[in-house]
Amino acid sequence: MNEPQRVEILLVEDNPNDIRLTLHAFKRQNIINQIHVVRDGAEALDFLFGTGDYAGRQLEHGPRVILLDLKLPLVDGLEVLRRIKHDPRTRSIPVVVLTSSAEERDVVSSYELGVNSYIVKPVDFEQFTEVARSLGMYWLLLNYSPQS
Amino acid sequence: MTESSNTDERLRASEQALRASRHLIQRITDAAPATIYIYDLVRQQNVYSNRNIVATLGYSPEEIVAMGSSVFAQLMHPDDLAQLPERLGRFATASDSDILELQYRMRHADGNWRWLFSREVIFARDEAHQPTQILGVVQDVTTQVEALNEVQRLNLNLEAHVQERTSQLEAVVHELEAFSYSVSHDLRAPLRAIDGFSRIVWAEYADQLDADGREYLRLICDNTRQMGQLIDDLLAFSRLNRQPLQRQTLAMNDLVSRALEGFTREIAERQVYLTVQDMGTCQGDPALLRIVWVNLISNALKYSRQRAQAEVTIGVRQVEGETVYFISDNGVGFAMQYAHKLFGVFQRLHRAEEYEGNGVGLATVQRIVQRHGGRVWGEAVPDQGATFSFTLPINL
Repeated sequence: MNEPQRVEILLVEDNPNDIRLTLHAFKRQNIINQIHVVRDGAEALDFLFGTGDYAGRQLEHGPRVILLDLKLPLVDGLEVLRRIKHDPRTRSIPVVVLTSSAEERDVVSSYELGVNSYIVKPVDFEQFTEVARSLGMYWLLLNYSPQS
Repeated sequence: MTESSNTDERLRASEQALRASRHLIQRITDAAPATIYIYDLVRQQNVYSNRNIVATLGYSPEEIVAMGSSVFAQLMHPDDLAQLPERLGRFATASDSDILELQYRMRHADGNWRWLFSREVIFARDEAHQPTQILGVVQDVTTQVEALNEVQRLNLNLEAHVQERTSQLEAVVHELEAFSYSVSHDLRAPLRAIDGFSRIVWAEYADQLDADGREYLRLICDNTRQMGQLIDDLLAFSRLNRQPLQRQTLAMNDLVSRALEGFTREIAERQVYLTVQDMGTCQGDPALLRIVWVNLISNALKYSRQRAQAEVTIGVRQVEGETVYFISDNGVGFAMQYAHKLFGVFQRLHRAEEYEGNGVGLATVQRIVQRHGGRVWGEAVPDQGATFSFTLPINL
């Protein structure tokens, strides 16, 4: 498994279209190198806790923010969220939930799992910039140089 | 001589009166459509009954008296027999004016159980004023009791049927709602992709397309946006049915003011004469009723926009004791022959090129008003305007 050195953003998303659209949005801003994509909930947990294919991964290498889709194969997004928020190693990583409706957002917030923010899919960079600002993640924005 | 003949005279007269009285009682008991009996509490047996007992139980009065103290043991239904001591015990404390009523079963000589309804009074007391005999009047109520039981059985059956059907229907409705929700939800994913990629093409590759190519791309974007709106509206519509109703007392004018907030600019930019009457309070869910007004106001503005001077009136009136809220406009209206189509989902009475919309608004209005137990209707004259009215029952 390819293991990036440092990961700023972990994108947990199974829909290939949404992955491409999200990566495209970030690529335009030259921050593709820092995004790691996992395709299901189980892989997300392996990556975050250094288990399975990611055994031995240096957990201090990030991610520094998690973009989490809710509908995921194997382990669903809510469960991933619950595990993240209940583990001291990952609890403080901001989680941005990717939603496809206001209703989905209501469902998640009803679980009171400490979601830091929401982004309506498809993820565009404008939205993400807004979220990054609101979460105080200026360091993420420092890494991109706007095209003109 | 005179005295004794006077005495004889009186004696004869009183004997005659007594005979007449006995005759009267005899004829009454003969004709009574009920069994009349005297039960002796000390000897624990029937000491008298009229002929009617033949019809009631199939035994002659003599046969009943002959059964002695075993009459109840022989003829009464075991379940009712168990209550006999308690029933007779009640006479110990009863006054002469009390009538004790009881319903029980006795076996007719033909072997069938008969439901009997008896009214009993104290007939005789001893020197210590303890009741010694009771007189009862009994009617055969088997037909009534069986009819009542049958009615109850049918009612129970009906209730069970209704419950079964209701839960079946609820299950179907629930399934349909879940289906429409997940369909509209899942439709978003590919739509999102179409929208996203066409935007990228538009933003980054537009210069590689000729005019036609760019036009088609624009149409793709427009349609995608429309479909997105449609899905949003459908989702919101299906949500309406799943949200619980939060009923409270509301100032209707506040609701309308808040609904109007979204139209401030349009009203300011166009020539719209807006009149909002004082509407008092109503009972309902504030969020849902706001949606009702937003949809109705949006329609009134939309269909009156061809007017140089649009007029929209929002108010209330009393019609036959009912409070009717209404909004009227001087817009294009519609032909009343299509009024039945107004409130159907996706039903439209105007062409999309003329008036945008997807036919969910009035369906939403209707659903909300119906959930409040009210009615909604529309009236119009083509090219003169439309009025939409709804009621909200106060107590539900």
